[in-house]
Amino acid sequence: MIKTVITPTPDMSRAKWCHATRRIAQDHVFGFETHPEQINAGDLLLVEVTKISQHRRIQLRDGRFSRLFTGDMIVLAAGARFATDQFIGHVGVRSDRTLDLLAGGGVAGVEEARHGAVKPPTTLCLHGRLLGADGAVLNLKDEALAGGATDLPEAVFTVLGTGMNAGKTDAVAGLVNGLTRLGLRVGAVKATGTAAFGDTHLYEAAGAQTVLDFTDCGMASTYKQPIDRIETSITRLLAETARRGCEVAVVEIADGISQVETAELLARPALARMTDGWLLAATDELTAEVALARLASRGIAPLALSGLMTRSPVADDLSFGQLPILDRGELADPATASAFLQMLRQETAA
Amino acid sequence: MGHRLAFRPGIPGRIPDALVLGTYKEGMPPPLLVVHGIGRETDQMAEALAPEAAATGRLVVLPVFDAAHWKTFQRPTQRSRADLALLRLLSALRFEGTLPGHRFDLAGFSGGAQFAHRFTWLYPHLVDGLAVASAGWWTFPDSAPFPYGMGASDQAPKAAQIWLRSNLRAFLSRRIVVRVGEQDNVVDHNTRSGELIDAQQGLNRLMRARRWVSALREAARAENLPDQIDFDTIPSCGHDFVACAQAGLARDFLQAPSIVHPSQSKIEGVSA
Repeated sequence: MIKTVITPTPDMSRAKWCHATRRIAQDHVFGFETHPEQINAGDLLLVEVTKISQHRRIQLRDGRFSRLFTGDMIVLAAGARFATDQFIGHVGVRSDRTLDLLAGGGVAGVEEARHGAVKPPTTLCLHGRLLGADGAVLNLKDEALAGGATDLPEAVFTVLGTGMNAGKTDAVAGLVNGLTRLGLRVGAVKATGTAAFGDTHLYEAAGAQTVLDFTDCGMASTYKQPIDRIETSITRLLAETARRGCEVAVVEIADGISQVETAELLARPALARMTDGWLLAATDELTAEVALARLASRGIAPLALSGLMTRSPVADDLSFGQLPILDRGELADPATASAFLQMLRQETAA
Repeated sequence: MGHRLAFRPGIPGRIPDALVLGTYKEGMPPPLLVVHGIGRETDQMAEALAPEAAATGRLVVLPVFDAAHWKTFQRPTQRSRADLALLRLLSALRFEGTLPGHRFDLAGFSGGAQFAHRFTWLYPHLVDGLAVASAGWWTFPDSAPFPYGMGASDQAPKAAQIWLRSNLRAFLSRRIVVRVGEQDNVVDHNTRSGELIDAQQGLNRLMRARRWVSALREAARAENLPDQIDFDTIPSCGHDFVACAQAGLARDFLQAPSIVHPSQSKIEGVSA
């Protein structure tokens, strides 16, 4: 008796589509590959939630959170993760078809290590990869921003940090708000990191006219991506903000300056060429001092310090010579934004 | 036919009311904002400026910082932040199509001159030309404690020193017209006096204007900037706006040529 093999055709409309997949139209799915030989970063995966642990909810492509239930079907992207306060993981799937939810924005891979204070990752079972009309695996890069535009905004600020949770996103949001209240059209760019809508939503709330991140250039995560690709992505994102009419852009580089991709970005000339002024967000005085020294060795002198250190009860006693130390409120003041623009102008003139 | 005068209501404590004299037309010189003194005499100012505004075709906006919400508008870094209120008004007027672009000329008389020079110092990229007359006192480009100078002070926001020092060069690069009545040499009950201010600035408005202009010129020289300060006294005038306007101040406010046009880059020179 001949047995026919039935190719499963899951009902995609039942699946929860994660934030990371937001640029891929759902009607672009024409097929399903059940037994992939390998998984590449950015591939769209259909997975089932098998055990809920660290991540109890995911971020949907429409900007809402969705609580997870065992048995949920999710469309997300394959990607690596570098988060010192959570997981480090790589792209892939285990031989038993399990993989881990590495980030709530919809990034799955295989956990390598985790912070001592977090639970094991929420576990997923791979049902397969999604295919497009041409039978090729759908990947985030399929719908990435087109290149071509090369003009950058008139001024670009880049915010660096001493590590995760140093206050970089707050600093970006503050500066975006100050520049916006000054009457400028401001773009905000999350240049590196792992797909998540928290930061970009905050930029938008702060008044950014255009908000973009690396997912718009086809990456679920920039961890372990080639530096050339990340640099090209940053250029493209900045050019896109300019194309959409932004006069100024504020860029956030994720993690700390010692993180592998960030360190490499800072060691090369491209990011510095795109940046007119730097800000450093630091958790405390000591990390600020170390980071400033490392940046100085790269020829980078930030315009100001900000970050978690400014919320310390001893913040008023901090001093770094002439280097301004500005809290969130001061960064959001249009007068500060005005002063920063003049600092750039004077640096350019010098 | 004269310029049309319109009243634009604001939002108490957020956006000041404003009088709008004329309308902006493409190709005209940039709009002029004129700030009143502590008497909030905007009606008389509009009336006195109207003929010159009509002759030059310029749009003139006169914000009204009411005393209930902006009692000390002359010092924009005070708690009520009159500078932010003006930025909100500008944003609203741009949105409504009343104002073009982002740049304008700024003028002020008496307390309005205090506000105007400090606003320009904070936001030099927004102001093309500054014309100020008869201020009671000034912020000097020196190390005296803020608001007399750029030095540290309990009266200033922590970031104020950064704001002033970072913007000093751009501020000095503006075209600045300074006027004071030649008879405005009387110390009256509105004149801020004291050991520090009298020693730094002089006893009356005439002396203080002269010293401020000298200090600006010296600071510009130190920055290797050309002297763009136009200083003169207004003949036969004391501290009265209408009299000063009739004696030439209206022309000084409205006919001083702007260096740049508002269609130019808003972030002047950053990527040059």
